[in-house]
Amino acid sequence: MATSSYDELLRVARRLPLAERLRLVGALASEAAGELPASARHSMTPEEALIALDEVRAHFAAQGPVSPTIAEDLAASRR
Amino acid sequence: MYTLDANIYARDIDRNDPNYDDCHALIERLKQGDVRVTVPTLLLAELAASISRVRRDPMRARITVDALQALPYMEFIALDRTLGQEAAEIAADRAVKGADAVYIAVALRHGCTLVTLDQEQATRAAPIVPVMTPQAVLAVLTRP
Repeated sequence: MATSSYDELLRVARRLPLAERLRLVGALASEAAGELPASARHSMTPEEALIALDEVRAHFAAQGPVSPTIAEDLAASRR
Repeated sequence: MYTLDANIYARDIDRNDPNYDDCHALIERLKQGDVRVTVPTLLLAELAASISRVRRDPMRARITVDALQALPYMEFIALDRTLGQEAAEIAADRAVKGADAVYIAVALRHGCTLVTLDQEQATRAAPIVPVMTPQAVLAVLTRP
């Protein structure tokens, strides 16, 4: 069912003029990209998130201080 | 409810930052989950960009923002046309930087106190939303 629907849609889409095909590809890619982070988010539990943040802090701390700092870079990006 | 500017998270993730202790203490307190934090989705790109640029570490930039989105007390507000218009009006009327205005607009719309360590943002936001430092919020939340 899903395969035949896909084939059918693809056949119809291929009949579209080039500009419309490009528009369709852009719209589908944009929508799919928007859905990806949501599925990734669901894979991390709150407990895992806290552990992950602690790991990131520990990793950066082990690397030592840098200049500019992350906060300074953020401030500079808003200037 | 609070709206934390990205500058709080940028300091919380970096133990070498001079303001790490205050920002991390607040983030640790928020883990209890009894206080809602409402921020614009803009925070995700801002934070990921600065982590990646400064630390040359795109993987941990992604992990950081994915982790923030997994925290149940965090609410992310998308910049739709209405919020964009509200931020634009704040930016125009108060000569606030564009990104700063987005945080102020989110705080205003959702009845939040803006938490920031940016003095200019704090000063210009103060006439329209409550503004506090992380230390001040922590003092309120730990009051017996």
